[in-house]
Amino acid sequence: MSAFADYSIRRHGLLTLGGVIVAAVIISAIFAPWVAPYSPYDLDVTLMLEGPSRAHWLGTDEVGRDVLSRTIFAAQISVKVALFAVAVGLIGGTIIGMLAAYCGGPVDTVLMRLMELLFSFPAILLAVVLMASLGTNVLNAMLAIGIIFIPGFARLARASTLSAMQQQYVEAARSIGMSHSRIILRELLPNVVTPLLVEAAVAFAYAVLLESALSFLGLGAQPPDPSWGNMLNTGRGFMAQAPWLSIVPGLALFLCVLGFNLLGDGLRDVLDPHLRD
Amino acid sequence: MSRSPYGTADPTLEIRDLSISFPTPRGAARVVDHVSLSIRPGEIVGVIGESGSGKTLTALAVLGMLPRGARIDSGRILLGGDSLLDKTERERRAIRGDRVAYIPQDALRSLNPTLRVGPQVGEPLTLHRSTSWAVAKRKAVELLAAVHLRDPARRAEEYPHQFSGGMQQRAMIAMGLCLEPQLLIADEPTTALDVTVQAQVLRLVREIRTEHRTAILFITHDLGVVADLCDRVYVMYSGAVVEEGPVDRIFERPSHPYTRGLLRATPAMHGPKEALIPIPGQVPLATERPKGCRFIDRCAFAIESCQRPPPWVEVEPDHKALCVRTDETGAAA
Repeated sequence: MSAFADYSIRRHGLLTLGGVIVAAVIISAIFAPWVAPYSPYDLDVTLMLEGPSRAHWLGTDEVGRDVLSRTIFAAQISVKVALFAVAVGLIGGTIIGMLAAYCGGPVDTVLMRLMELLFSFPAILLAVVLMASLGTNVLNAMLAIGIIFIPGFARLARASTLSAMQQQYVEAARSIGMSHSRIILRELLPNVVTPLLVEAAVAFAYAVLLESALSFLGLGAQPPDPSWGNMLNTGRGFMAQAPWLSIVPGLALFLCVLGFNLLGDGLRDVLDPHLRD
Repeated sequence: MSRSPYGTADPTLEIRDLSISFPTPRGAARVVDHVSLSIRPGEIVGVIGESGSGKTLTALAVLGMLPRGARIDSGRILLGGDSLLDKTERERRAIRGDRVAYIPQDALRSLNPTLRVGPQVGEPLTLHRSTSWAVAKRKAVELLAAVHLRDPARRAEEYPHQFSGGMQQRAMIAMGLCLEPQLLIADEPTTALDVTVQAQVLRLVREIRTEHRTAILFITHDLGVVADLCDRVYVMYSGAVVEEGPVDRIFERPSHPYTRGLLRATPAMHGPKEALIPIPGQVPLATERPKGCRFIDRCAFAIESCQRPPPWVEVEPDHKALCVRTDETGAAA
């Protein structure tokens, strides 16, 4: 009895922790101009590679920009890219997966084999190929990451739709003369959406990581725009003289990914009917 | 003649010689085999048989909702004279929920758990009459009141899980009644319910018949329900109708050995307690039916001539059985 209570507190504790971190990241991204002490672009060549001080809490970089401010502004790009990419993956994957499940037969086969084809590429490689053909900017990074997410969402949407279609209420809906599109939107979608939203929270963490990886490789956000990925890339060169240049954006990335993962796991537990009391 | 007072009106639904099969690796499985039946306005017709006897598929064929792979090999289905099998999917969709309503087997899972009950009950209006949701919701409250749900306005705002089994079933019936269909098909609507709730639902079905003169096709495997509710009954066995007639005549003088077996395997409510006698053996698979009478392997009356397909024999006016030995079986009853 008390073991169960402990477990439930711990579970919700982690969910809360994840929620707090995610909220902090999103709030600092939205309110970056007010939260950050300096502009992320202001140079001060007299203060290159200064360590943490009262004026610059987390030090300055190789051209004297405030690292704390750049890290906060970088959250803007990460959140924006992740949000857009997850939206592309979620919407695209849901449409493809539900159509495949509902139509069945050859439509199902063709769509799902296509998804497997996408799935078979390593994510980073696929992103690099897409970026190389689309051109390197933030918008294309969003699209590339979104496309990587489509197969995962499509599989989940298909599986959930197939199981929802077995339910009697779908037959009942047909029996009152409902059209196919209305059955999909009104009867199936609300019953399919929960697992997809949980998956979206987890995908969000992965999108942040992927965006950083692309920026690290020079394919995402372009300098002088700050991104955790390109900050890490810069910091790499000054690892010995100025370790804070790598540690600060690395820690931010770590916390952000951790936050979204905790939130995703927590949501899954809370929304999973088997674990509900 | 039939005890139904509607004996001479044109039938609302007429199924003639309907055959449905599924392709299987061992050849086509005839799951519905030359079934004919008719229902007049205001008549409650029971179709009784074990699971797998083809009664649900017959109903789904009327709705045009056969599962993937099913093929209609022959037959006609007439709804108020319109041939349903000649219609396009779009035309049939316009008929479902409007002229024909269906109450599915498991009403407890027939309401969408993510939507409020009211909009679901009123939905046929928005589908077939293009009314606004506000109008549909008002109608839904009226309908829920008509099926004797207490506090219908509040109930319409609730989700299905807040309803008891009997209430969900009544909500499904309310949805079926939304557009006053000519024909109501109820597929074992009381099987999942408690006996007391079952009685309420049956009373409701009877009310619908008297108030709206709806023709009702009632599918069940419960003889007690048939005796209580129906005017006429069709007994189905292994895909075919084997006996048909007015309910009281069939109970009085069951003429197909299968019908007799069913009656003897059902506990009697009144009278002396008799031992229940199960029917030996099992229903043959659709691909492995005997050549002659399909009941031959389980029949105590089987003779040489049962190796050939049996003819329809009129036991008494309006009461027929698909058996050559009705003299024996009828007399022995």
